[in-house]
Amino acid sequence: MTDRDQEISAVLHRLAEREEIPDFVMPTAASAPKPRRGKRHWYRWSSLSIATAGAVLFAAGVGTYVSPDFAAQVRSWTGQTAQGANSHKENPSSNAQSSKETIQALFGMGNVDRGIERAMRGYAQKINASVTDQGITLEVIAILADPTRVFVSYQIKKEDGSLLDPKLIRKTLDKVIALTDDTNQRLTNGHGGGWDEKNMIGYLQFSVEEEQGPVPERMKLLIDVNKMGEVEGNWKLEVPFSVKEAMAATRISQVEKEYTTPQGLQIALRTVTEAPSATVLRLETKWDEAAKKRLAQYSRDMTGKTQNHDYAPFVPYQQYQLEYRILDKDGRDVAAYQQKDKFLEQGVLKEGRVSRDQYGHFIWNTAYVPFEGSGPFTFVLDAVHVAEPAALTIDFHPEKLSAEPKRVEYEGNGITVKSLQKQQGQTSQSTALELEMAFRDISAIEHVWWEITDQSGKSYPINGAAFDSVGEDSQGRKIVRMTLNVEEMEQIPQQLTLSLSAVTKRYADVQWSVDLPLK
Amino acid sequence: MKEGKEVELSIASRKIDSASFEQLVRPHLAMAYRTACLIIRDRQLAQDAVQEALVEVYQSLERFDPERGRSFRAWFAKIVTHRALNAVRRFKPVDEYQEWPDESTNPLDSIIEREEQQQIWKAICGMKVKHRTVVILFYYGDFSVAEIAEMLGVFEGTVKSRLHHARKLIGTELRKHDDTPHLSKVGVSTND
Repeated sequence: MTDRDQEISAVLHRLAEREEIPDFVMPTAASAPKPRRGKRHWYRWSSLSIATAGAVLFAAGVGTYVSPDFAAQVRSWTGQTAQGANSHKENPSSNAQSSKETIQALFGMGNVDRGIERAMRGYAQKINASVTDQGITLEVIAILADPTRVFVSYQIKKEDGSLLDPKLIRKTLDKVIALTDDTNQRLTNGHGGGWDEKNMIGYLQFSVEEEQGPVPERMKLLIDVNKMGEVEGNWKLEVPFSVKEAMAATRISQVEKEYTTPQGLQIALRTVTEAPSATVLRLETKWDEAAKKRLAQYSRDMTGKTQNHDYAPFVPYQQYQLEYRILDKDGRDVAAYQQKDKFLEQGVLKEGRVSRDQYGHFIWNTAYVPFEGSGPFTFVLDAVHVAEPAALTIDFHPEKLSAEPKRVEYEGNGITVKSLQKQQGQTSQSTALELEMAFRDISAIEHVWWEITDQSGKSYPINGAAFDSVGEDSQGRKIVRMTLNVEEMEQIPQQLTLSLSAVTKRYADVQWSVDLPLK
Repeated sequence: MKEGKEVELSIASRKIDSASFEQLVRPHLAMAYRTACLIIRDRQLAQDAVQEALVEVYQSLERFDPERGRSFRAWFAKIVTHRALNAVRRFKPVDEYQEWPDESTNPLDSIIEREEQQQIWKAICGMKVKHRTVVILFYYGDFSVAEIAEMLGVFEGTVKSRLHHARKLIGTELRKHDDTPHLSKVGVSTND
């Protein structure tokens, strides 16, 4: 190992070993269903599969939209008490200032997301609570709090007023950084944060989840740090602050619009929450009874077709995804969850999905940066993606593939077996099966659903797949090249059978749009 | 109670009981949970992933074949890794990198060194999950290239190329940090 290798290893061990091991419930014969016996399938798992639902990229929108309700002002010292453990002092600002410079000083404009930038103009509370020990001062400059999140800026200073690296606060495990209610009950499980090295400002961010109970009007930020870099000391701050005005400016609109797709997926848009720093859409999805009967059959068809016996029974119920956009009055996308070559998110800050049961009943709380552009805004459902059983079988002779690739059509989707070639590793041998597929309505194939057997019935493990999307054919079908990694094939058999048990299909036969009651 | 090797052998003969199962997996739980934490960067999801993996392992012991030369540790890690990758796919990837602890008591462990280590972690967190997973399994799990290839269902050459790419990304991040100490940078951290 090189020095760099050792360093990488040390970093990972150091990070990992700080994690306390939680209690795990050991499965027992009574608690865990017995594995199914019978035909042994050799499908295996891999992270490599075609755009799996939920594999997303984040693309933030740009620009600023400021509602007249969010009048530009920065509150001055709010009169709340901050308690420091040592030479704590309070430094109330004399007057409220609404200049951009002041806002920048509080939060460092340009370094925070657009939701924070927008909300800070009306809801930033200048705090200036500080505590000094060992010649080092920790100062909480400002807090921006609304019912969706709490954002804090702080600085660390030396006695001469020069600023220290804000990351110093984070460099000790033995500390408390928490958000609580008035009774010191923690409101979040943890925090995020960041820093701006140019302005030497540090940030803390807490996500407030509706699932953890109603958001209190008053909260407290607790910071208790006993080390700043190499300097030991005691920096303790307790900063109460109010969320009342941001709560008053937060509008929760009941939407309660429902739609059932032709596939039987019931979608309800429950509420839209407009908070100063984020807009949250709450959706509920579940299958109707007719769909559940169909899915129960799918489940029976698909169960046992992978090595993971626990995988299939609930896959048909749970493996679905909505494809949608949110449009402004001019029909422009202000937020989206769409499938191009892969699923892409636009404007999403956070996606929270809570499972209500094993049968695909979910609550989705998706937080977006406040929508830019002009309303009214409209939620438009474009498609749903669902997992379904497939029944495709392709017989081919490997040695003939180079001269004549094997082509088949399956329900409007084209599949070509192009080659089968051995790959040599240091300690293992694998065989690469090259496929090219033209997808009409298939949006994904998990490699675990493929099986390959030879003329004697021997099944070979397929231990992963790689794929590449390479455009469209003349019929507008998406071309995907996939390589299946086949194991234990010491000799290339004369004849092989490739079969496919399930696919994820995209259904665009949906017709649902909802005008969002946004200001 | 049976010894570890004996337990592994009893798996082969499908005679394991619940107590033996716990004895079998307990030594590997810390590695499993911490590997899941590093891949997912979310403690709750990591706990869920390992709990699901335990059930899967229990249900699937008949598939573990020590005769194939695979250790139980590697087989368990494979299942945990796939559960962790499923969790990453199901949930939005965390764009932030994890809070950097400073529990060092070694005065020689200078701030500069720790800054460098922080950049390494930042680079690892910034990688695609397929690269990050290989790095974690190789450098934290101490699994061989062949074992990782088997776990992830990719060719050994793919594992090597991902490791090479990951090292390059880390090198780039470190050089960026060295070359531009005065430029404004915005970092992020989380322990959510």
